[in-house]
Amino acid sequence: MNETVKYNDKVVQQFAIMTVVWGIVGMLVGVVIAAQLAWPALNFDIAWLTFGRLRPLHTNAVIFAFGGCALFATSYYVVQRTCGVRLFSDFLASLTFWGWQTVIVLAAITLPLGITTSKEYAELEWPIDILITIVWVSYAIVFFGTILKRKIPHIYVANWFFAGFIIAVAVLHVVNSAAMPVTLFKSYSAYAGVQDAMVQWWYGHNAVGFFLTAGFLGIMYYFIPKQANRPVYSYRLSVVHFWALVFTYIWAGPHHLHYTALPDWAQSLGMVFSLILLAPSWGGMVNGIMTLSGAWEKLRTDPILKFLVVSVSFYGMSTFEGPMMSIKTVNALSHYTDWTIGHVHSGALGWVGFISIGAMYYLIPRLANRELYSVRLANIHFLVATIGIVLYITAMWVSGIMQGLMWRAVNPDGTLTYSFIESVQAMHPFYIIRFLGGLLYLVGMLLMAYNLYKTICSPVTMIQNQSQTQTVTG
Amino acid sequence: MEVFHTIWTALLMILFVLIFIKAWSRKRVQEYHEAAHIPLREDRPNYESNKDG
Repeated sequence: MNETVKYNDKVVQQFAIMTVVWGIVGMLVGVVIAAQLAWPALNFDIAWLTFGRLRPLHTNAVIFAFGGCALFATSYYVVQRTCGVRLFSDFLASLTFWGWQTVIVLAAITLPLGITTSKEYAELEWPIDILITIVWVSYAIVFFGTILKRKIPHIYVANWFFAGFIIAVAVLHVVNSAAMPVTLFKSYSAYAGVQDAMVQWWYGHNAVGFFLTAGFLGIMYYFIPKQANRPVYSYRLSVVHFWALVFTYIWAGPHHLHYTALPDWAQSLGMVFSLILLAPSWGGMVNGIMTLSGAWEKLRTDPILKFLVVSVSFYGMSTFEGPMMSIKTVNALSHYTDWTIGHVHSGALGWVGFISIGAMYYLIPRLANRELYSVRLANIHFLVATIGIVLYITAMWVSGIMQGLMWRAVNPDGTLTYSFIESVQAMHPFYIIRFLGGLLYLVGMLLMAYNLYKTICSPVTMIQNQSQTQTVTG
Repeated sequence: MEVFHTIWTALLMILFVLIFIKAWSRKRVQEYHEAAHIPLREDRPNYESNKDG
């Protein structure tokens, strides 16, 4: 018996549009704080605009608002189509949208006011943490409920990555946010001393591993085959990729705490598992890129594929650089320097940013049932953003390595060769280059917003949009 | 507690190796071939019924 399924694309469209909106907001704040580092007077002596308050606003906005909305949009889109059913609950799906937007707005209000737990990437105070938990449980019910009522027996690999991301983030959030509230806006962590640091970086690194990697690999395994119109290069490699990543990532957090009070064996364990991570990461990268085998010519003309494939290349670069930086002797040079900032942004702008942008260029025109307004503008976006990333990460590499070398330089008598302020002065030109790189990336996002706005407003609709319904055998 | 952690870690390692063997099994070649095509089916809405009948 054939049954036509009508997908819930309203919530996908809502999240997709907010991905673009929050992307612009988060990156604008990033450009502002980059400018403040080059020209400190730009905080105007207003507490709300200081770097210390705007930096967590930037990280929360780009990770959880931009990245989070992209993950909600794509996971809801993918799970319906690869399971052949509508979302499990329209009400809960809508609750996740409005709940997540409320979390973002509350973050945008409380962080500039200085209301923070001071835990990196988990700065939001306990009432917002509870709201996040409610939204996340609703998300899990919608996602796993849809998987349970699927009409297609096999659970496609992208859904495994989304599932792993949802479960891991739930565990990470609950454990790391455990705290004793003292007032409505203040709480103290349930952990103390080095245990607090260990829990924080177990959370912090796995936020990268599961929120910013596993979830976005789900995007890769659906949207690259879809856009290239070719099946994934090796499906069994994708299965091994998933399990190897899940088994390995969870151990790597201690590499953030090299040369600290954390026991040495724990630091070494984190380093070893970080090095092992290179294998599944590069297996996945090769799988993503090789999916284009036989369709390489599409890269010349298709801006969506350009974004998707270059994002996977940045994934490969970052997942080579990360394990290398986790080696203790390398970390002795790189830690606390701008090299780390360059590494993070090659992953954030190159991998997470580009794959999200590619997915949005794919999704938004289809959901609006319209052709993309301007392919040329999308190509310009790709070019501008790529130049922006290159400027950003090369400036930070040079600045970071220079910083590390200046800090460790000693005279024959054992005194430091450079004072700290001399290293700050030496970094200044690179901070300006970083600001320009970030600005170019933001300009690209504005081009995207204009292009997608014109797409949605276009009076010409596509004749048929099969992707919004599907006939499945019941 | 240490013995429990050791056994648990060893069991996880064995589980991972078993998953690896299962993923690479020749029996799964056809299943994985079909699974890899799942995202491409939606552009051909009657794929399942065409295949079956």
